[in-house]
Amino acid sequence: MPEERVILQVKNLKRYFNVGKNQMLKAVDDVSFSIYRGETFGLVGESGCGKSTLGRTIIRLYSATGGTVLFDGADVSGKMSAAQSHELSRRMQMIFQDPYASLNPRMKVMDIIAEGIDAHHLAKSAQERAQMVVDLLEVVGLQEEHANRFPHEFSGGQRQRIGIARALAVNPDFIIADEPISALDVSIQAQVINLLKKLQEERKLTYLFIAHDLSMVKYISDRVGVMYLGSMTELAESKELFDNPLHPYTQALLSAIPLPDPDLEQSRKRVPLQGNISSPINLPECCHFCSRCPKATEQCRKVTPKMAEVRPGHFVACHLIKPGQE
Amino acid sequence: MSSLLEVENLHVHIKTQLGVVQAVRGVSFSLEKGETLAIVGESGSGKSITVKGIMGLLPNNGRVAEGVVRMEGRELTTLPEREMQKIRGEEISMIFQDPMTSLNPTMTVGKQIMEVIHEHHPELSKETLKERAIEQIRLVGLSNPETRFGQYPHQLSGGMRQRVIIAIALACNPKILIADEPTTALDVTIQAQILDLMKELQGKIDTSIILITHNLGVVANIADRVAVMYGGRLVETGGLRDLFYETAHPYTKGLLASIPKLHEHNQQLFSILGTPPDLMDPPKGCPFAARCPHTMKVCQEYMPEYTSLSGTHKAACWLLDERAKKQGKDGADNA
Repeated sequence: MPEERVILQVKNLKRYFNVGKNQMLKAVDDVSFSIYRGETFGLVGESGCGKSTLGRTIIRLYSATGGTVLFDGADVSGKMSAAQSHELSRRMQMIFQDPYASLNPRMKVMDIIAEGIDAHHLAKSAQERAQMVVDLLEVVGLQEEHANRFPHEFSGGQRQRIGIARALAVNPDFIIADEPISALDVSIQAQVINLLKKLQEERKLTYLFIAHDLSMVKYISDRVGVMYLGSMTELAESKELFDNPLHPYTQALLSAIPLPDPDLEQSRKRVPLQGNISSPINLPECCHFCSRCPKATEQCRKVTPKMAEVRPGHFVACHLIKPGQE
Repeated sequence: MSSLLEVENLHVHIKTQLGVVQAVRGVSFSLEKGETLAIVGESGSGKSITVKGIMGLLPNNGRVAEGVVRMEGRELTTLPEREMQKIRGEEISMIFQDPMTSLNPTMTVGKQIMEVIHEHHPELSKETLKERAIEQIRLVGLSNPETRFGQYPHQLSGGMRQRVIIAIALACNPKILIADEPTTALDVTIQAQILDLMKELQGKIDTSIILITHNLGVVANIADRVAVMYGGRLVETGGLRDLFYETAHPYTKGLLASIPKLHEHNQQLFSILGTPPDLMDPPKGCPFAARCPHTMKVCQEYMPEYTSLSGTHKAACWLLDERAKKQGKDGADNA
């Protein structure tokens, strides 16, 4: 893939939390991947695997413990000048999971959406500011009269649309969507996903789409990364990953999703997964999945596997899978 | 009339500051021995309130306004609270959605299980209670039952807590287990474990299950029959295969079309436009009329009757009415 297509490059990113005496929680541990311009990169994993922390570290809501994040070739992980971080906040935006908690209940929709416009002085007059807000409301499928209401007057799906309008207000290139639909009902989820897809086409947006609903991730993503206990275990193009999962964890995860089709659901084979995710605190040097992996060997319990490209564009971190062999 | 549980024309009203919410508006269904009935619907469709009405667990501002709930011929809605207390736990028990908040954080797991058994069998000695509690922990597949007995909920993970809750619910071998979104708060791999456990236990102790969920994948996994709720009404009920392969109601169709399928590629994701009706002032016609792609004048004015499609499969939609077909308005593709 040519270099200029990469919009975001994450290299060996680490984010540790000190959670007590000699207790280190490695929420994100040595994760590397790239996101190409205009694509949707899906990030999946179970709760506590570090997918949200990864997103938040990229957008600098958390500072990185180690590693670098290159956005359009510029390092955005370390210290930055006020002007640089101001510019970054215009180009990179976030949509949050909980539409009930992410909007200030004391602000009108108009002011919520215009906050970014004000911060970046994108509007020259009050009139222009109001017009921009109205345009944005229209883009996300709300009406002009909604601008003067407060968040509590809206349903969950409508609130998520307001959150999307707020993210779009500063004309970003890159949006991190952290579980944007998991708080919504099924029929409303489809509405929001279709809106996100439409906006991506119109505005050439790049998404990092974080979710635990694998069928939705498959639907919206071009490429998908699977995380387990702070590390990336598998990364491939969406179709390839779902058709041909190689890592034992990905296989178990995919087989665990209940399919909305009785014949398929009751006839297919499950890869049973024993036990629970082990505690992420003070993890030893090993494959973090080894305690639940049905195929774990001695090597898995001693050495942490590294990501390797087993096929063009398909990366797996597993000792049992070697390039060229399946 | 041999059904284990029969619900007839149940209406539940909830009083709020702004007015009365008609959360459940005439719901009827029955539950047979040993079967699993899934109630599917979006938030606010009335599915949780329906089962709370059955259990007599409505909030203080809610009441059963009309209707009959019969368990083995016995009317439940008019039972005094003390009688109802006996039925809860012994005949019908319930699992709630959130495994984090439905256990008492200050009591050991064992004590919480013992408490339930003691409540219904006060004659049992402490030793017997403990034995039965440990037996119960073993039943739900937790390792080291003796150790788990003395542990507190915070020492267990979400999946393990849900197992403990199932152990408590099944402690007195109830005839009916009502599970309100039992796996929604869990990760998919844990969800699969809990679903397997529920199926296994159902086979062992022959309990009927009412499962409330919005996840159609979970329904396909575990249910025998399905009831779809929308706007406080049952819009379609039928066997599992009827619902998925002979879908009749436009809402059920929309619901099925709006979930992306893992095993198919590049299909367009269908979305149902609009939002559910306000049950403070429910529409007098079909609750789905405002969002339905096939809506007709009659849909807005009159509530559709149930049309029987086969044995147990029925749906409330004007498109299925004989008269609709005669006029050539057969917009419903019954395929």
